[in-house]
Amino acid sequence: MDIIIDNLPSENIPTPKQTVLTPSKNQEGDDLDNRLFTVVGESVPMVDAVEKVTGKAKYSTDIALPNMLCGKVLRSPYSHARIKNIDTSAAEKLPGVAAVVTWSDSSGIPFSSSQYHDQYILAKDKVRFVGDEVAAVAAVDEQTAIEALELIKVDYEILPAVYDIDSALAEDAPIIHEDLDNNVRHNLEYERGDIESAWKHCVAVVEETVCTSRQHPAYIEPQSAVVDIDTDGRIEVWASSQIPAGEIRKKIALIVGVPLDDVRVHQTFVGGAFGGKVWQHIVPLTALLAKKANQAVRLTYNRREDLTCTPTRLNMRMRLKMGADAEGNILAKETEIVADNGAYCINSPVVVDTAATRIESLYRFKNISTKAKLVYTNTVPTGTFRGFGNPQGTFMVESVMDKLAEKLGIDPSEIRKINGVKPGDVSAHGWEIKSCELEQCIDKAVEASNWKEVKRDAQYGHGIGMACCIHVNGNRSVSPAWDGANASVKITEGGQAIVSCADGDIGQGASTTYAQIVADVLNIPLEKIRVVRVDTDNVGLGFGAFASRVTYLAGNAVKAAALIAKQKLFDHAALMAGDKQDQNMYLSDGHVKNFAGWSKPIGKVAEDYAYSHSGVPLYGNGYFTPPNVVMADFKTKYGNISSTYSFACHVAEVEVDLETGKIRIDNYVAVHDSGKLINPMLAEGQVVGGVVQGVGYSIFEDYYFDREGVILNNSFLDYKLPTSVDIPNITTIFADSNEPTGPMGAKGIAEITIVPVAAAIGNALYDALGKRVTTMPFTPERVLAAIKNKNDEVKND
Amino acid sequence: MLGNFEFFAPESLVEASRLLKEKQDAKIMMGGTDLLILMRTGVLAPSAVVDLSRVEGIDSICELPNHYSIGAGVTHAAFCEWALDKPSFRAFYDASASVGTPQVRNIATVIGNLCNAVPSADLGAPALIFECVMKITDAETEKRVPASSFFTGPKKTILKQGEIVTGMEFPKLESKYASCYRKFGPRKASDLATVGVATLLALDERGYVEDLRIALGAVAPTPILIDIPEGMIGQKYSEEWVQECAQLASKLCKPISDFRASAAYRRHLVAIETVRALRASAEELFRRSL
Amino acid sequence: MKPSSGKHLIKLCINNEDYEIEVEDNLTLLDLLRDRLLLTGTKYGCGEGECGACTVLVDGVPVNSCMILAVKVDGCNVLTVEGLSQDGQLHPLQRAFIDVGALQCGYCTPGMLMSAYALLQKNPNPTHEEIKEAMSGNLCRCTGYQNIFKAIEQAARAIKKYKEE
Repeated sequence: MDIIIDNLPSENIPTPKQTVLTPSKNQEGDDLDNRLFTVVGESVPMVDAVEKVTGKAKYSTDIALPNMLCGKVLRSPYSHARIKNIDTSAAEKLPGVAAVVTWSDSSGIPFSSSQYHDQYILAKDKVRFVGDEVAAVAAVDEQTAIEALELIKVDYEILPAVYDIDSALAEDAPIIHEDLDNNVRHNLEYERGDIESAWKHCVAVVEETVCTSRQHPAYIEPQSAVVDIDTDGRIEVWASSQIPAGEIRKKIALIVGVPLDDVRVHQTFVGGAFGGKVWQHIVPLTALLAKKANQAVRLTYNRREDLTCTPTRLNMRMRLKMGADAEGNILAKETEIVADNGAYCINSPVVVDTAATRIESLYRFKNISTKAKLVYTNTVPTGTFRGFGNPQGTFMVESVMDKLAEKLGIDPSEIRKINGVKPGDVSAHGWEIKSCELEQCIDKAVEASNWKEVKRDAQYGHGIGMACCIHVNGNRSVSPAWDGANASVKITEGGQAIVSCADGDIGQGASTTYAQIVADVLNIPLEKIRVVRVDTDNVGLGFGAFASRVTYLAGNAVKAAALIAKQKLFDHAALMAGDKQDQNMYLSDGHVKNFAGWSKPIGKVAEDYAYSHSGVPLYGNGYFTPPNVVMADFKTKYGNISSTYSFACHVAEVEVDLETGKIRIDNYVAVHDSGKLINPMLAEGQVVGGVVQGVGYSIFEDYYFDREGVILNNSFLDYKLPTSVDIPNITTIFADSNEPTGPMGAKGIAEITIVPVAAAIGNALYDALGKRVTTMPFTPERVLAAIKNKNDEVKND
Repeated sequence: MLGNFEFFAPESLVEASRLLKEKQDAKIMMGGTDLLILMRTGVLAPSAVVDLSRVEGIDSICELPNHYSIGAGVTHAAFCEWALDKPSFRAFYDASASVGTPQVRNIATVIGNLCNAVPSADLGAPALIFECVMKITDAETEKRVPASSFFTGPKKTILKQGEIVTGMEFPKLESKYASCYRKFGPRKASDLATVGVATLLALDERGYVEDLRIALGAVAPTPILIDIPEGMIGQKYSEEWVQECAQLASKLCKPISDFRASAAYRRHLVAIETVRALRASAEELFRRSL
Repeated sequence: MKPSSGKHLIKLCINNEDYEIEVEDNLTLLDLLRDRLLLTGTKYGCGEGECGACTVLVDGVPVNSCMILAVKVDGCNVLTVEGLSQDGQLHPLQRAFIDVGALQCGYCTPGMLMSAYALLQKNPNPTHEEIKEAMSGNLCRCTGYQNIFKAIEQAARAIKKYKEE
C-alpha cells in the first residue's frame, strides 16, 4: 500500500518574504535606527524552520558518531548518606564496558556556578539527595551500561535527612554541608533609605506571607551530551547547551583536568532549555567518561531522571509588609525570604538575590529592608529557570500590592501607575531606567481586558487580576571580568553574509534576529544570509543565552559587525571605482553602488578584497559593550546591572468552579514593552509560550516528596505540563516603545513573559473569591479550601 | 530500557495459553501501553511477552440478540467510535475518550485497562454499572466472571497465570437508560482520575426513577459499585433525590490521601461528580423524550 | 541466567520505502527508526507515551512509537516526519508551521506534524476545539500551542482550496 501524501500544490524550499531592495534615505552615517527598516520589524519565519519541520535538525540526542559508547549514571537511592566505599571492579570487568568513573577520576576540584563551591561532578564522600550522581559508566550499548551500573557496589551509611525549609532550620537538623554549622548557605541583608521613619508616615500597612512552588523547565528534549576525543586528545563536545562558548567549557576543563584550549564545544540545535541547560552536570560528566574511555560517548538522561535529578526553580517562603500614604505612594517595604536550595548551590544564591531585589526597581521604593536566606534541604538542587527568581519576587510584591490597593480604596491599576518607575528614574538599587513604557502597558492591559467592566459586573467566583514586572537585558554581575557580546560577519564571493556569534540560538530565534539585523544593515535578502551554529574553535568568547541578554547584547554586536563589514565594502569599492569616481557608496539590490552609476555585486567587491589581501576574506568583527553598567556590590546589591530594562503588565480573568475549586482562565492579556520589535511573530511566540509556562507554574506544576525524599510525581503523567486543551486564550500586545541603545530600538523578551503570570492569576483568584490563596500552585484543593474559608494550607499525608 | 524477553505473537488462544503456562512469569500484551511502562521502569521483568493482537477476531465488536461483546483487542479509539451512536452507553464513550492521549487511545485497549486494574482505571466504573461479564479462557476451560468480582485489589484481578480475558459482554439497554462517566483530574487531558464516577439512570415517562447504578473509581482499592438502597428506586427524579445519591456515594467510598489529593477532597469530589453525572443523564433523557 | 532476547525478521514500509530488517524482541519502533535507520526526525521525549514527541503514523493512525515494539509493526505502513515532504516539496502543514511561527525549538514539531497530518486526513475541516483535542497528546513547552492551532487551520484551508480548484 502506498502512502499518498495528498497530491497537493508543491513548493520549493521556501523563500522568506522578499525584501524590498531600494536605497534607503539615510545612508550616510550609520543612523540605521532612523531608517525605514525592510526586514527588521517583519514577522519573517525562523531561518532554521525548514530543518525543524523536515526532521533534519540535529539535537544532541540525534548526534551519532562511529563507535559511540552509551553512558549511564549511577545515582544515590538515599537522600542523605555517607559513602564509605565504592567498588567498581566488577563493573569494569564486564565485557563491553569501556570506562567507569567516580569522583577520583575527576580533577577532584569542587565547583559551582555560584560563589559557593559545594559540589563535585560525582559524589566524593557524601550523597545529599535521592538521585545524586555517584558514578557513571560508558559501555557498548545501553543494556551493558545498565548491567554495569548494577555491578557497582556502594557502601552507604544512611544519615537523617530533611526535606523542607523548617525542618532544615530546626535546632537539631542534620547538617547537610559539614563546613557549615547549620543549613544556611547564603544570606542577603540590606536596607535603603530609612524604613523606621517611613512606617510612621504610612496610612495603610498590609502584610502577607506567600509560598511559591518548585517547577522544572521540562524542555521536551531531555539533557544529553555527546563527547569525542580527538586523535590529539582534545575533548570535542556536542551539546544542547545555552552557554557553549561560556562557562560550560571552563567547567569541563576544570573537572576533567585539562587546559581550556583542549575543549571544543559544538552547540547543536537545542530542544528547549529555559535556563535548565545553562549549568549542566551532564556535559562535563560525559567528557569525563569519554576521556577515560578515549572514545566517543553519548549520555542521555531518561525523562524520569531528568525530571527528578536536574535543577528546579527555587521554592520560597516570602513575607512582605508594605505601607503607603493616603495617595497610594508606597513608603516602606519590608521583606523576608527563605528559599530552598535543595542539596547544592547550582545558581541559587543569585536567584534568591534576584527574587529579593529585582522587583524593587519596578516601583519607586525608597525605604526598604530586605532579608533573604538560602537553606539546604536533602532534595534535588534548585537553580536556573526562566525568570530566575523574579517570578517569585513578583508574586510576592504584586499580591501585596493588590492588598494595599484594596485597603486604600484605589484600583489595582492605579496604584501601580502611581508607584511605577518612569524614564530617567534611578531605582533604590541604582538601576537607571531608560526606555520605560510601564504606564502604557498598564493602560493597554486595562483596555484590552475590559478591566473596568469585568470588575464592575463580576459575580462571586469570577475575577480579574493584574501584575506588572521588570526584567533585565543582560546582567553585568554575571562575571567580574567583562560583559558584552561579539560577532563576525563575513561576506563571501557569492555575496552571502555568514554570521557567527558565540551567543547561539537555543530555539528562541536568535539566528533569525541576527539574520534580520544583517539583512537590513547590508541591504541583502535573508536568503543570502547564513547564521552558523556555535563551534568554540571558531567564535569569540561568549557567555551565551540567559538573563535575556541575546537580543540586546548579541543583537547589537551583530549589528556592529555588519556595519564594519559594510564600511569595508564601501572602502574597498571606492578603491575599485578609482579616484575619479564618486567615493560615496551605498548598498542596494545586492550591489555596492555610487550615485554616479558605478555598481558592482557585493560578492565581487568581497572577492576583490580577498584577492587584494592574499585571500583574507572580507570580515566585519564587531562587539558591543553594554553602557552604564557595573557589577552590583557584593553585599549591598547596589549597582546598575543592565543598560536598559523591559517591562510588562499582564491581566488574567478567571472563573472558579466553586464546587471543585478548579480554575478556568477565560481570558489572558499580556502587554509588553520590549522596545521596537525585530520580529513581532517571534516576540509574540515568547509571550504566549511564557504565559503558558506560567499557567503551569501557577496551577499544575509542583513536586511531591515522600518521607524518604523520593519524588513521587516523577513522570509527565504526574508532573503536569499544560496540554493543548489547558491553555487560555492569550492576547499579546506590544507597547509603542523604542530603546535608543538597543539594536534597531529593540529590547529583550525571553524571560519576562513568565514573570508576572502567577501574580496575575493569584490576584484574579482573590478578586473572584475575596480570599487569597497564598500558596502555589493554586490546585483545586487549595482553592476549594479558600472558598470554604479555611486555612489555605492543605497538607497531604 | 526494556530488559530482555522473548516475544511471541500466537495466532490462537490455545497457543497463547500454553505459552503463558510454560513460562510462569510471561505477561500478556495487547496494546502494551501499561505493560511497557512497567517493564521500562523495572517493576516487571518478564522473560516472555505473549502478544494477542494476532489472535483471530480478538478485536471484534459483536452484536448478539440481547448483548454486546467486546473483544480484548478493541482499542479505546475503536470503542469510542462504537459507543458514539449508542446513547445509553455514553459512560463507555466518556471513559474511553478520557484515557491517556489520542495516540495512546489508538493502541491501548478497553480490556487492557480493566486487566491492569489500577484503582482509578477509567473503564472500571462503567464496567460495573453496565454489568459487564469478563470472558476468560485458559484454552482448556472457559469461564465468565462478572466485573463486580473481577477486581480483587490495586492492580490485582482474579486472573491466574495462563488465563486470558478474551473479551467482555454486557446486556443491551432500553432507551429509557442514560449513562455518564465523569472523571476529575487537574488538567483536561492525559490525567489519571483523581475520582471517577459512572452513573446509569432509567426514568419512566412520568420522571420516576426505574433504575439507578453508581460506580466509583480511584476512591477504593478497586473500582466499586455502590449499593443502592431500595428506597432510592421509585422516587421522582428531583434535585433533592440527586443530592441524596451524591451523599450516599460519598459516604460509601473509601478514598485514601496521596500526593494527588486528600481523602476528604476525593470524598467531596465524589458527591459533586455524582450530582453532575446524574444531571447529565437526566438532561439526556429529557432531550430524548422531546 | 538472564533471559535472552530473540530476533525477528520484519517487513515493513516506511515513508514509501520497503524494508526488511532483523530486530530484537525488545526494540521499540522509536529506536528502530532513530538508531537503526538513522531517521532521527522522530524524537524521544519521555519514553512513556505522555509527551507525543515520538508520534508517527502506523497504518494511518497516530501512535507513540516509544510504546510499540518493532516486531509488532511487521507488515505495516509507517509514516514519519521525513516522509511528509517529498522531493524537497514541503507539505502544506510544514509550510503553515513555518509561516505562522508554530515552532520555536522545533523538538516537538515532528510529533505535532504527524498528529496534525493524521487529523486532517480523518477530518479535513476540524473545528478549533477538534484541533485542540487532537493535539492534546503532544506536549510543547516553547510555543504555548496557539500558533500550532493557527498553522493547522491555515493548512486545512490551503488543502481545501487546492482540492476545490
